[in-house]
Amino acid sequence: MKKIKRLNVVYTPLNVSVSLLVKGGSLTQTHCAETDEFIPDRGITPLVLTPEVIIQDPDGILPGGVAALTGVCWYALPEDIAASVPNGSYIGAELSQYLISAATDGYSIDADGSLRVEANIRYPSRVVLVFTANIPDNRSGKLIKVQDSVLLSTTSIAVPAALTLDKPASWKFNPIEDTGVRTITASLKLGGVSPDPTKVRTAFWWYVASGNTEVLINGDDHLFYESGQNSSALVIDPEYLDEARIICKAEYALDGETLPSAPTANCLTAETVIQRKYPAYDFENYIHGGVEVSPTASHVKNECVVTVGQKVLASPSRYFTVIWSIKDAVYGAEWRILGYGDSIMIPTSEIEQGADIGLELEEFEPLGALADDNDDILTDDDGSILTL
Amino acid sequence: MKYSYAKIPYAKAVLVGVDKIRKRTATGDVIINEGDLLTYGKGDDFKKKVKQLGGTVLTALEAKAELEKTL
Repeated sequence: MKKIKRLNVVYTPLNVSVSLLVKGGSLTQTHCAETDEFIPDRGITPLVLTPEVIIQDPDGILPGGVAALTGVCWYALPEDIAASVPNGSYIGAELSQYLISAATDGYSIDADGSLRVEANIRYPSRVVLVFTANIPDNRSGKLIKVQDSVLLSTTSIAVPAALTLDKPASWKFNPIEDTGVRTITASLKLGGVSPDPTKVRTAFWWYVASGNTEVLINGDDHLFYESGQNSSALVIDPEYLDEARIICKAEYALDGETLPSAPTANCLTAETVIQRKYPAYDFENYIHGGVEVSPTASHVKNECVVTVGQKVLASPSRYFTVIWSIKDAVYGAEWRILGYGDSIMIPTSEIEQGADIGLELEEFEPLGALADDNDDILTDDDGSILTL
Repeated sequence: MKYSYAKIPYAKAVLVGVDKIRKRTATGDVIINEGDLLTYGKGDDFKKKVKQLGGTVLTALEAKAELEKTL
């Protein structure tokens, strides 16, 4: 008869400490919805998670320190899936679809078991990265499973939006030197950057202030309007303006948002004031031959000379109404208009007894629509408004 | 919101300690971000530190373009 007893060597369980060292970044990113920018962008500078498993043998048989790992696996679980795994239990084959492999976009595993994360986590999603591995217990020949996890998340930030115009708060149109149309360009920026038009839709509206109201600029009511309503660049002809406050309003919408069809109370606004203003100028009546007219002369030529700064203006009547008048050198004489234009030939008969020649300049007013006595606007055969 | 990246020579990336975790361009330089130099040198001026390392500051777009370049 044989009596049997089983003898076993019982080892004290190893003390195992598992850490996931975060290198090259943080578990939390920031995302700016307006610019669709991740900070930092892991596609540029990846996050690296390096597992470190430290063992300590209470029996003193195995040397303590970093343990060699086998069977390293990483999983990327949506947070709700991760929450379904009971606390303290290990990830099993039922979650193998979340196992990170060479084919998993945005993740790769280095030779030392580190996980390289190049994926950006879009707000408000959260991802749980789970590390599992085995460490051999050389005392018993068994494998000890270890597991740890981290949570990747993203915070969302809003950046300030700003609307600016490429014109100053007020600017002048010089009717003498400035010609042609002018473009006022609006620039909408999110966080100081022009938004990607494929990701951010924008809308612009242009108004002109009329008293205390703002009127949407249109070609029917505003002769100065050339083009550009509902675009970021308004084109106007300042010849038709005396002084005007032009207001731009803008709205923007991100993916999934609705772009308003009209400016809301929260719209972005920018404005500029255009003023039509002649520069400083002076003028003189230049009398050809001098003020003492030869008795044999039949006419004396008077010419209007206008200077703007140091420069003599050619053809002043292009910019002014030049008015010539005369007053006889007798008591009670009245001024009477002689004529108009850059110069005038005055018959000597008019000045035989002496006379004062008057020269006046009137600045042109802005162009406007020609109207009849009933204030009806005149048009040509094509329906175009006649302007003066 | 402007977040900066930079391209620095590989030898400097080794000095900073980011050579093993950062991507390299086709020319061998290493692309880093602002956070990588927080504990390097003195002060907070990322641009100044990049200059000291002989590198170039890049925007996100420029950094992506650098990584996509081939020889």
